[in-house]
Amino acid sequence: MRRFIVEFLLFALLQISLLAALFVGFSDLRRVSPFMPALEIKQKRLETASPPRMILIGGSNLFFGIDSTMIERQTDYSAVNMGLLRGLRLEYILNEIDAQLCPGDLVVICLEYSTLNGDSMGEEGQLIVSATTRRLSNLRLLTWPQWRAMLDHDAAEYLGMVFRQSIQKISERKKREDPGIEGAVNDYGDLTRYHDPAATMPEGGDQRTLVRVRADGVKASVRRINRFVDSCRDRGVAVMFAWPPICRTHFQEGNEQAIEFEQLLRDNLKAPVICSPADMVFEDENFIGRSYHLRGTGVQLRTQRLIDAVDAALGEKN
Amino acid sequence: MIFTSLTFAIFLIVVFTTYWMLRRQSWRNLLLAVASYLFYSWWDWRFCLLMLATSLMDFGLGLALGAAKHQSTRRWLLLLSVLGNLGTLAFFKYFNFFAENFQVLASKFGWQPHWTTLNIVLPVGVSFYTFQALSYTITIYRRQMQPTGRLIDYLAYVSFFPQLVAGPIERASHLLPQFLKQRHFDLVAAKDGLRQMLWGAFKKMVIADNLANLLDPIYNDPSGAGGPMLALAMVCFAFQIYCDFSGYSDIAIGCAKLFDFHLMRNFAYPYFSQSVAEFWRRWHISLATWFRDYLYIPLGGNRVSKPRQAFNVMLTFTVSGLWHGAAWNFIIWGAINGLATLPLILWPARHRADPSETPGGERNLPSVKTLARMVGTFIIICCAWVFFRARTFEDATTILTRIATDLLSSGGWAAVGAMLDDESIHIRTLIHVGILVVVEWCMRRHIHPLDFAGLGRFWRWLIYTVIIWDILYHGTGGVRPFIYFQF
Repeated sequence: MRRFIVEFLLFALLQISLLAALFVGFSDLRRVSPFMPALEIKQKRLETASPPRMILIGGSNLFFGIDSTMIERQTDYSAVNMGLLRGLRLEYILNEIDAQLCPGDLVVICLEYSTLNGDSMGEEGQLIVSATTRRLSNLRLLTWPQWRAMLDHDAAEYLGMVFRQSIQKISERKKREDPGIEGAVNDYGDLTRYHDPAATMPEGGDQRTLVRVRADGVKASVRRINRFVDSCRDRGVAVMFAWPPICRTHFQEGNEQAIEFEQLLRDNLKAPVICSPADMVFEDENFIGRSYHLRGTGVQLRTQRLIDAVDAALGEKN
Repeated sequence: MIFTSLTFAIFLIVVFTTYWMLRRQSWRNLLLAVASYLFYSWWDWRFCLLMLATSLMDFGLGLALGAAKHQSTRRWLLLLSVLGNLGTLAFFKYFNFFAENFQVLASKFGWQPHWTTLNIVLPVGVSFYTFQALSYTITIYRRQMQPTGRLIDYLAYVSFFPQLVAGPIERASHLLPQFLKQRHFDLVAAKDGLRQMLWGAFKKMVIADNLANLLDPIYNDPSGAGGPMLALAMVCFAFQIYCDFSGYSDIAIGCAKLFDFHLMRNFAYPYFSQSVAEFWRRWHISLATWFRDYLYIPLGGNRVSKPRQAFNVMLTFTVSGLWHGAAWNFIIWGAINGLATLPLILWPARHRADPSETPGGERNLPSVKTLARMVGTFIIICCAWVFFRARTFEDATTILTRIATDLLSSGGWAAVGAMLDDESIHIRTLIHVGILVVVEWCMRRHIHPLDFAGLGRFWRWLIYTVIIWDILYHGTGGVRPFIYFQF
């Protein structure tokens, strides 16, 4: 028995060493998820920003489309932009900040329509694994179904993906020019590379912003957000909901869907909805690549509208 | 819990370590029973209740059978067990099938029954553990073994996690005594078990799952594909189902070896068979022998007249088809195999190949005659698989008709070439299929191809590393469940 265990451990050690050498030398996690390194900047900001804080949570609409310096200049809040990837899903996005909240904080939820629906992008599991491998303490943010999915298949898929990419990197003759995000994310967690009006995004196609409302999915999301709102209220934390940006063309095509989304939230959400989808419509040229992603002046415009909406809501509240 | 998941790896390490730390056999059996129920509950905890209920029924009936003096009482008790087990199976697996077909039949006579089918979830592996439980009461009825009075041991026998959801379907007389005897760690068997598990994982994750990605779109819409594409899908499915199911069996058998259990062989290089009858002695051996022992032989086997023997063969194969699934496609698949087996059953060859014999003969390269027989058998088996895999009977006939009439069309071959050009993974998967055939041919004298305990450590570890890295590179992450889970 002892011999079996020793041999097994030796072989396992050999494999782990070989894989570790391969991953350290050649893995390119940016290819797995180019934005994931920003997670650490955001979590550090959340831990260190002085209260009271305005914490923005959601997907990449916030990562691309917020200028936190404007929030700090115009409000009394320290800005924390936690928006990164909608594929991390609502549960993780809420859990990520939940334990860090303190009295006086303001949480602005700005979820993409598909996140409200609970639609699957097919890569959620791998994003979760990617987030947890970057920072093991993120494991505590996972729910039981997420743990289960990770163990059942996501972790193996992720390992395979990193392995394949490492091997491919070895075999590539020419180094791939990957923009990454080094130096492109400020201390607040905003992606600043595309704040330049002339910026274009090298990859990513146009994606429909508005999707058909799945009432069951939206109601489930609202129930989860309401639990979060209740818990925040008990701790003296304010919560508000704002709609993500949308380009004019898509808004015109999906106007009815937007109304339905809004109605569902206004009827069921315990947190105030501080704007309407129409308030967050911007001209098409303000967007790059995927249509949730603002650039250039669009970022300032959106941030200003958000600040105004928050001010108005706080004024009403007081 | 799927064998190729990280969950199972963690589960296995924990159970293995705890198991060998326990000294008393009864504690080890309790651990196996609890672990097996945990393993099963990973799909749905409610499935455990059904398995527990049928296990308790058979345990009680086994004791009653052992105590009964009169033959008539024993017969009634056996009947109760058969009805209880097959009734459960019939309800969960076949209720909707028979209800739908009864409705269709009744409507032909102008009667419109107004019942509806039930929304029944088929518990994973119910066909497997039901047959295993039945083997217990039948064996006791035949006085081939005494019933056990140890409930935990019996529960562990029925639910033994390595073979719970897709076999091999063990006989009580073979597996249950292993739960009752003292077990010791066997270094050679444990190492061999790990090697067999590795080979099974390779077949499943690298070949079966990637072949599924290739052929699923074709089988889902066969009307849009030409003859060559359909022929490719037909052959690919033969390898997919082989790698999927034999991969599962390899992992199950290898896993059992870690606990000093020896499960029966389930596959013996079936695609090197030289006749359909031989194929069925090498494919899913545990089920084929179950039907042979508990259906074919009780019906009279080959001790009856030729027409009756033919009837017995056809009935056995048709029931075997129905066992696989509640659909006409499976019944037709079983019947085709029965028809293809008939000539050799009715006019047997002088020499009857046994699974323990080297498939394809002892020569390193097969003779032309042997090769022709193997290819011919493979083609018949492939044609039958079309009915097994196709969504409907119409789809199956479309596929076979188009293969027969359109196989040589240049446009069809160009479409195959274009598809392979677009997806390099498909080409690599087909290369893996080629490697599989060569490796299995070279190693066909062994129980499994990685049975090379005599090789030096360096070479062994090198081979393991190559396979593990191949799984990591080409594997699909193990998301896709094993095909036989649905049965």
